[in-house]
Amino acid sequence: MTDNKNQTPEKKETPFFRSYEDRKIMDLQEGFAATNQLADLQMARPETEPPTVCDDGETPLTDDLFQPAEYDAANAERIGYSNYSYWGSTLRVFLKSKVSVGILIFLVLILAFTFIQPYLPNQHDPYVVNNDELGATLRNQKPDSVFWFGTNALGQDLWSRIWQGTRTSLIIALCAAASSMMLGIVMGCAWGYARKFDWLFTEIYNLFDNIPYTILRMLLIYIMRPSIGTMILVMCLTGWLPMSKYIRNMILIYRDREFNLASRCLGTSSFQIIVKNILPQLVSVIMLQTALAIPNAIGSEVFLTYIGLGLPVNIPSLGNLVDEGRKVMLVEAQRYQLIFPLLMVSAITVSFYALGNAFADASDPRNHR
Amino acid sequence: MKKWIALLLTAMMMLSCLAGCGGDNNAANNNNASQGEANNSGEQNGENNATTPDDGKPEGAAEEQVVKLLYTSEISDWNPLHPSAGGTWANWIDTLVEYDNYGLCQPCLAESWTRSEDGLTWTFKVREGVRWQQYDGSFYGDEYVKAEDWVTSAKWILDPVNTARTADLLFDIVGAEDYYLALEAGQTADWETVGIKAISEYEIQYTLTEPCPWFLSRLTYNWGYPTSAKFMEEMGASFGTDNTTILYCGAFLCTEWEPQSYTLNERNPEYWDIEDIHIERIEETYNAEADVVGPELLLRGDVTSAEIPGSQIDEWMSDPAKAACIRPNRPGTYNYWFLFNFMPTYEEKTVDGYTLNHEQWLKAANNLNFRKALYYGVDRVKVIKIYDPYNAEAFVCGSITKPDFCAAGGADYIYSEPLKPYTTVDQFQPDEAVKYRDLAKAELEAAGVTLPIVAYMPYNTGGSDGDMAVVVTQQLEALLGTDFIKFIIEGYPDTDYLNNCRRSGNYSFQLCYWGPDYADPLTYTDPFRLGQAYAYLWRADGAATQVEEGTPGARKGRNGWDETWWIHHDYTDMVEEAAKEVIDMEKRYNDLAECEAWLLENAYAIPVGPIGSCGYTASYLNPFESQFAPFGLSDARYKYQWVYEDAMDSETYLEQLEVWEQERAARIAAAQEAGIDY
Amino acid sequence: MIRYTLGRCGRACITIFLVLSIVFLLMRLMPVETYFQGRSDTMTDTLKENILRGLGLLDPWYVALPNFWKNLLLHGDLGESIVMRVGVPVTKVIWPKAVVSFQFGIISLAIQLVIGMPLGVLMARKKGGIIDKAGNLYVLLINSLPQAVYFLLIQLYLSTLLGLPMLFKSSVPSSRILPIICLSLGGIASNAMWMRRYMVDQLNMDYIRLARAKGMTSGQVAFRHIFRNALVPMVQSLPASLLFTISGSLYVESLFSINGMGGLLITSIQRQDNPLVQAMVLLYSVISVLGLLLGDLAMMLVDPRITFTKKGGSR
Repeated sequence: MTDNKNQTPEKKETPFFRSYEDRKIMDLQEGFAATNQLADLQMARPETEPPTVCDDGETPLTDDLFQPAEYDAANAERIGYSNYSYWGSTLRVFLKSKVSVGILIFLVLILAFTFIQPYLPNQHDPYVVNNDELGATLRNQKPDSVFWFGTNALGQDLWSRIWQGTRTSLIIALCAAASSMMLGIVMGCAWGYARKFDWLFTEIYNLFDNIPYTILRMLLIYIMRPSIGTMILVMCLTGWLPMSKYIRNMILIYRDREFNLASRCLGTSSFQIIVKNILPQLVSVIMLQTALAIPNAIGSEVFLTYIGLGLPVNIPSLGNLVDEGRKVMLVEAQRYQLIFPLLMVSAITVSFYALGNAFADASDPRNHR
Repeated sequence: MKKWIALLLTAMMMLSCLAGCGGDNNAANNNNASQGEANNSGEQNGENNATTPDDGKPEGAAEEQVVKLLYTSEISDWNPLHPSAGGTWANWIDTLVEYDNYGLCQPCLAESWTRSEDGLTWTFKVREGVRWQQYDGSFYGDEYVKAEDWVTSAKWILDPVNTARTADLLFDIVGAEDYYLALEAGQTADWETVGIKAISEYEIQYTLTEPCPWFLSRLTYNWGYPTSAKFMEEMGASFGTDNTTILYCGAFLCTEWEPQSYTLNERNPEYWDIEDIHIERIEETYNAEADVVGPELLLRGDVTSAEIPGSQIDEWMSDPAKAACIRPNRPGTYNYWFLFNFMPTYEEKTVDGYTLNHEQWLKAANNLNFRKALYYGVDRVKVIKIYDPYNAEAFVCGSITKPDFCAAGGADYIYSEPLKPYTTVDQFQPDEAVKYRDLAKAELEAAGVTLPIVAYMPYNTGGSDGDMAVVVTQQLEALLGTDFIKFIIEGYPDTDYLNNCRRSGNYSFQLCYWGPDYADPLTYTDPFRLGQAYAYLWRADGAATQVEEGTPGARKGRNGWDETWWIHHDYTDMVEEAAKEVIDMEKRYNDLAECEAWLLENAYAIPVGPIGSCGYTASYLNPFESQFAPFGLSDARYKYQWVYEDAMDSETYLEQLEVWEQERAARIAAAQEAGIDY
Repeated sequence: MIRYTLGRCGRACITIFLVLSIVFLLMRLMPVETYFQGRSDTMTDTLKENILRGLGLLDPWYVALPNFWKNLLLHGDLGESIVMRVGVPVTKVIWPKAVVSFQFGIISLAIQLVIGMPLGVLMARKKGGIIDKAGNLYVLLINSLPQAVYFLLIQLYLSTLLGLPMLFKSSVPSSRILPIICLSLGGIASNAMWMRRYMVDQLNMDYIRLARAKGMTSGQVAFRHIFRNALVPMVQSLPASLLFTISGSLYVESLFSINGMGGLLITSIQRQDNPLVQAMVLLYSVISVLGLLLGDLAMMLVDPRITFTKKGGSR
């Protein structure tokens, strides 16, 4: 038997969902495959005389008229497949929308620029107080050719402070978002699925949720002193709570559906069920939450600065800059000190939000056509 | 069902909207911010107008004499005798004496007083006919304010079970400390041993253990409030928990109080000195965002006085109409200076390639030329400009003692002979700084010290101190060179800042401050004497001798921070010698001034000025009419003050300030000559 | 169901016990400097000790913690405030503020639900249409601007525009409008956004296709099927939102001079008023636990497939 290379399935991929459309396509494919199979079988037979069947019924059918088919393990196992890859399809749908692609490029450019900016020529140090020739501080200068975004009340260059602040805030936000997503998903899944331990996780959640965030933050600052590290640590300590609650709620909804019942009957392990059956239902919610976690982190940074528990003033961060700008908001000539950080915060928030929504929409397999 | 709920809610919303748009909007705008020339009647300053409240208004006074304010911190403790600060009740309960607008002591509830020859016994004759009143103005039974009421207050404070915060302020009265400690130890104590007695119904007498020329100034603290024993007993545990559970005998009554919302004070119609109270009502609204919202409300005429936050000063100054409305703040009670630390305990780490080292720092701090280089090198105006960009020069103070604190011989203390060279000449002298730097460089290098000197400067992250740290360190490094000095600055949270950074010696160079506790220059020597946790001056080379515990005359460095024992600290001995003079005030002040000059000459402190009060205020009141005292609660009162139609501008303020200062010095000199206690 | 609820309550008591004890210990870790009100340099040591003893802070924690529990459980006494309003029982401090915050919160919650949910439904039904785009823009704006900024803008500009007072006074009813507007904006946005997402998720389900094929109109489908199903995840948070209306909003209350609960917890932590902090943590814990429990019960009510008690399946 020749090996049927073009018939060997490349990956044994079981699609998660089958919409009517997919089923139709698969039927067609199966049909094609079947005809191919038949043709190949015919071609694979060694050259013999085609058997003749006598019309009169008197010619006996002897064994040499029949060719036994070889056992082909691959063929025995094969069922219909399509080269449907979930993530590939998601990406394809996502990239179809020009707006989303545009926003993605814009975001990547901003992120890249925050890291490149210090190395460009003509950049001022974000910490240095700038003086004029007479030694007087160049405070509250409006944007001009030397200071592209102007200076703040201390005489520091706002352009470099904003980029430095964006770097700081993004690092904090990314760490917080990443930890909240990972911890949140793990805890949420364990909480939602394990019926026996629902009580334990509920109490753990309640414990963490009810200890006021402010106490932890104040204590940590007092012990470890205000810095980026303490900020990230506290955000991680409590950031996983909302995500885990969402996941747990959704899992509760899907836990006892029939297809899960079926999986359990088949003996699939809990881990497999969670990861392969349930989580994919939640991808859109997870994507949205993660995408929003970053603007939320920046927002809670602004709030912490407002109540006086934020980063020290000489470390620029978007929270600090927005808070300082808020104080001079009413002053016409200094409004730029609020507008620029606000634009940056808005740009990042809007981008992540739009991307999150777009990705969430794209990751719903029912939208894959 | 859902539809009906929605309809109902919408209807409710619409109804409330209608209700709002209809009737009255807000309290009538009494004091419209008419931006014109400030119109001030200079002759009003300090005259005790013997006019009835409704006529005899000075020129420019507003129609309605109502003060409207925003306040950001709520009254947390309503018991007048309990907390550390007594300013809350200044308008509600009178004290034995009070201060006039030049800062001289005037009779209040005490009509007259005498002092014994040796200065140890003070006897006050209490005014008769002053009744105790409840918050709504009704009389409390048949109770009059009597001498016994001051005894009640003192007894309550000296009882440890009441945990009064100001008990130690009474410890120099005969028998007071023993009484307190005995009760604390659980023994019985006899009140008769304490030198506070009501020798007759209207005469109260205080006996001290040592003469205290400034005793009168101490009467304006918490323990100087009278308390009705009958009322306190009647109220029991609820005494002093809100405005209805205290008694009033002062100029105003707190008729309404909603915590963290609204406070209403109304003029007390039964006040004994009602002719001098021109303001009818004080309406205070609580708002945590007062510094952002206050100036806006002032423009709308909803408040009569608002402090302009630093961030908005530029805008107000650039608009001529608004600039005519604001004036600089009066210098406050705290004076600020940079200190060199002689007990460094900070972590000896390396930051940005510079290594902190205690030995290196001590060698530098002990070098006079090094200190002088920094002393002449700090640009005070630049530092103050962070807090007040427009009027920084006016806040510079060359002395450790704050200005307008006390005076002798016709001139303010800080302009007395020994301190004149420091307060009348600008101490920021870059050439001198460079000169001393070169001298220091040579000496330190000869002694084997590796340059640059790395100094550790912490700052409080709650406030503008971070900006100040950045500016002053960059300015010094630019002037003296980073091969000579390099600063490592680090932020600490506001929680427990002083313990973490100053008292523990966790700094090389830092901005510190001090406020007076009593009306004598001796109070400003406290931070530098043996026993205070400021700069540990006695640990400088040769300043004091370290001895064993138990050596006669030895004193501990500071309990909890410096447990070693010392004697013969040069500065402390100097000060104690000067303070021995209690009769001739001029000599006393002069000697104390010389001690201060010694500190400045040796550059142990680099004074900057009273920057804590830097800023601008827009106000319809005349600050020079208000009672003035650099401590105590007099400046919270509203006696003699009028509300004007126009706000005072900076020009007028500065002119009047000069006039006021001269008048004050003259009056003090006259009082001293006449032998009157002031 | 009853057994489940009782079991939850019982475990909740243990959690609250743990939370309160941990908070008590954490607060004790804070430095005591602030109780000396700035006179620490001049006070004598005996005086300092006396003050701390009076505040109940001198005893070591293993003595003070059992005392606290004894007072609370045997006498129902939560103590008196030591910093915020000295000498006043904490319940008396909290109650008036909770009432004020509750009034604002409940009205704002009603508005959020009444406006936000229908908006979300509309956005999902006419997906891609003008309402959807406008709604998305609104949600975007609310999320990207920091609250501290646009609240201040609302207070300043809307008050001049509509002639409303800038600060809240209980005697002036129209002064309630601006704070309620501020409080509702965020909730409307989030309600609309999540409602839309959940409904869009449902739109692609097979049973919707069947319903349409049966001949139901879009409206009937939306209301009877999609809305009910999308409501399930949202109903979980409803009881908690209701109960948490008393917690107030820090920003709004500071700006408008409202005497509410918003800043009370944070301020009392910062000023280290331990009894008040503990009373508030107790209050918030009870509310949050109750909210979670009620939310789970509500979810069980709305969606019969969800169950905590029965083992729906082969296990």
